[in-house]
Formats: sequence, structure tokens, C-alpha cells
Amino acid sequence: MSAAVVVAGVGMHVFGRFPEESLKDLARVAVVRALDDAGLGVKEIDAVYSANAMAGLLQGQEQIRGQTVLREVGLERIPVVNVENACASGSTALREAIMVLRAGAAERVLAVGFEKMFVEDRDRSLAALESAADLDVVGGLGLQFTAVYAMRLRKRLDEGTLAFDDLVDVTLKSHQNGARNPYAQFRRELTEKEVKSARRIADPLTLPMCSAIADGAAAVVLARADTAPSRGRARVLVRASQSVSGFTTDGSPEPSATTLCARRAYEEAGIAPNEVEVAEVHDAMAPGELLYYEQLGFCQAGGASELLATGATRIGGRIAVNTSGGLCSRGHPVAATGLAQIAELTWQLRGEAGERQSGRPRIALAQNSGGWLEGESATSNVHILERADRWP
Amino acid sequence: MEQTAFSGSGQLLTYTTVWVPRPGLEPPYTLGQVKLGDGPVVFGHVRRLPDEARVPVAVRLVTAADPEAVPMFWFEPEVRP
Repeated sequence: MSAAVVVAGVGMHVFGRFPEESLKDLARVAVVRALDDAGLGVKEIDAVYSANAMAGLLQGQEQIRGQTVLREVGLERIPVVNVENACASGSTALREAIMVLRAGAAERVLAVGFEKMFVEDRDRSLAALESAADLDVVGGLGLQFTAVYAMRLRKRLDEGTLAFDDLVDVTLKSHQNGARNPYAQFRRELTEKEVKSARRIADPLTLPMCSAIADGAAAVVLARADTAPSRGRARVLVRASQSVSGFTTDGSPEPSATTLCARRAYEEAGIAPNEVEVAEVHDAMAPGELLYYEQLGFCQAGGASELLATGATRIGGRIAVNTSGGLCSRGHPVAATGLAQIAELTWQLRGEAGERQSGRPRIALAQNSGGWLEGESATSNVHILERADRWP
Repeated sequence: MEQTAFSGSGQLLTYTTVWVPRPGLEPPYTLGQVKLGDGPVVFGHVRRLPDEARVPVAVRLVTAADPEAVPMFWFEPEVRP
């Protein structure tokens, strides 16, 4: 039996546009906050898994990104492993940290993700994003994340299993939640008219439905449950950590990478999808949240529209989804996203999410996707967390 | 490794019209996901698609006469509207 692992501390640098701040500045804030939250000093961290996806192309720092950033914080003379898995880089670093703890090779490990996507020439940021695909196959097509999500959704609109109004409604929900999150890039509620009449990006998606270019960082301190510092508050246990890579598809019906990954995570945790009470999912475009309802088993295939309409996925609902505002409103600085999801869920499980708090949850799920192959995400990671102590 | 020739026709499974300019690509342009005959699923540009077309649509591969053209190939509906 491998060691049980807890989330000992979480921290974020607010997501947004920060031209005056370097990668080091962004990461430092998130790391110091996570260490402070855990009640640990830099000398008490045994290893770091450091996630970044785009600094090679955007800042020219192709190699040793973690070491260059972390020495500024005083994290030196320990193993630092650099992790890249496109938009799933953060959750991949998290999974590596969990595995080294379970293996007994460390007691306290930091996972950090940082990204600086705003550079002077926006085309460079878009080109860097397009490299999250097999460029031998799609290079030069102008195929952005936005177009990939738009195509997934178009299929459902034509089938009649989703309506354009569902896309609008879930976008409004995303921005309602983001408006309540002090770490979010977009903190303003939108009207239906604003969403519908906004600039078109890739039909049927309009601008407020899409995550934007962002700077930011997030960090999570993980520890073995038996040696983790006690902070006099509820403990957050890691119940499952799963990862699935994408695959070549011939178009025949088969479970998605996320569906497979979620099944494995539920099996590892020994829980059913209907036990999840709060979830953060990879809505790079807000309507993508609807597709994940089905892939994660929150409803039957084709049931996303109805689940949204019941209000069950709102803050306070039976299964609150993206209480943080998700990628679309909280923001999506690529490698920071997977760890920002864990920060939000940890706050929810501890009851520290302020005006975003959704009841008294015990089970939380995070789903983070990265890159794409022709018909599939290139990576999907699912983590399940549990509040180990009863609510007072 | 061996070369395999795929069918030049297939089914357009889904598509989107893109409004964001990229170098060498003036918006709007249409991208689609195509299931080629008995072969794989590929992404490509789509041209001459009627407004509000509903998928699936039978399409055929068209290659550019100019070998330097971007893109080098695209898909068009099998039967012109």
C-alpha cells in the first residue's frame, strides 16, 4: 500500500495581463503563497515538478525553466523536474509529485505552473498555441483551440443534442462565477445580449465564450499524509490521480480520452460520478464544460443541456462545476491552469471559497486537457480529492 | 515504413468558420474534420460549402495548381449546390 498523499497548501498569482512581471515574478508569488498556506519553508521541500508550456517559444527559455525561476525563491539543491504537456502541464506536474510521494522517495513536494503568454506580437502567442498539435499533420492550417472546440460543438448543434442558447447560458454561468473570484482574469458578469452579439471567433463561438491569452501562476504543496504539518483545519486527501494520452481515431464511436481517464479515476477512488459535489473542468471555451458533463459521467450522453437547465452545476447545486469561473473566466495561462483547478477545489473542500463557496462538499474532481491529435485531446488528466474530516 | 494512398473523398464530420486572422490566412476561412473513405480522420480547409450546411456532407479533396499555395489542399462538397 503506497503512502496516502494530502494537499498541504495552495497558492496563486492572479491571472491576467502583467507586462511588468517576469516569469520569476509570477511564479514567486504563487510558490510563496502555497508554502505559507502549508506552513512550510523552502528548506522543507524535497523536490519540485515545474510546469511551463510556452516559455521556450515566447521567452526563449527553452531549457531549465524550473531551475531559473525557483532559485529566485530559494528552492535550490533539490531535484527540479521540468514538465510540459501543453494545457495539461500543471496537472501532469501534480501527478508526478503525487507519484514520487507514493513511491516513498520524498515527503514534501511542490508542483508549480507558470506561463507568460502576453508578448508584443500576438501572432507569436497564437503560433505557440498551435504547436500543441502534430504540426506534420496540421501545420499552416490556422487551426486554433477555438476552432477545435467550435467543431466539437457544431456536431452537437447539428445533431440537435445542444442548442446555441445552452452555449450562451453556460458562458453566462462562467462569468458569474469568475466575477466572484479575486484571482480571475475576467471579473464582470455579462448579459445574454453581450455574449450573443460579441465578435465571432470560430462559429458558433463568440469572444466571451473563449478563454484568452493570459499571464499567471499557481502552486500546490503535496505531502505524505503521515508527516504533513497539521494546520488545525480539514485535511484534503488525494483519492485518485490518472492520466490518459490521446490516440489516432478513424471516426468510429469510441470513448473519449477524458471518458477513459475519468473511469480509471473513479475506479481508483472507489467512488461513483454522482458522489462528486464540486468539479473544475477544462473549459478552454465555456461551452466545452457541457461536453465534459457527459464525459465525466455527471449526466448521461446527450444530457448536458438538461443538467445545465436544472441549475445543478451552479454554485450551491448538486454538482457545482467551475466555481472559479473556469478557464474561460478565471483565465488560462496554459501551464498554471491544472494547478489553479486544485487550488479552487482545495478552497471549496476546506470551506474557504468565500462568496463562491458551494455548500459543504466532501468529494471534488479536477479535469485538465492538453493539446490535440486529429480527433482527440493529446492528454487528459483527472484528479479526485476528498475532505478527510467531517464538516463541523 | 510504407506509403499508403487514402481515398480522395470522404465525409465532412464537422466544420467551423474562423474569423481570426493568421499569417497568410485572411478570415473568414472554414476548417473541417473529414473522415476519408476507409482511412483516417483529418483536419483541412473547406471551400464552397453552402451557408448553414448541416453535417455530414460528402466532400472531395482538391489540390492547389500552384505547388507553393497555402494551403496546398482543401475539401469541397462532392455535389456543387
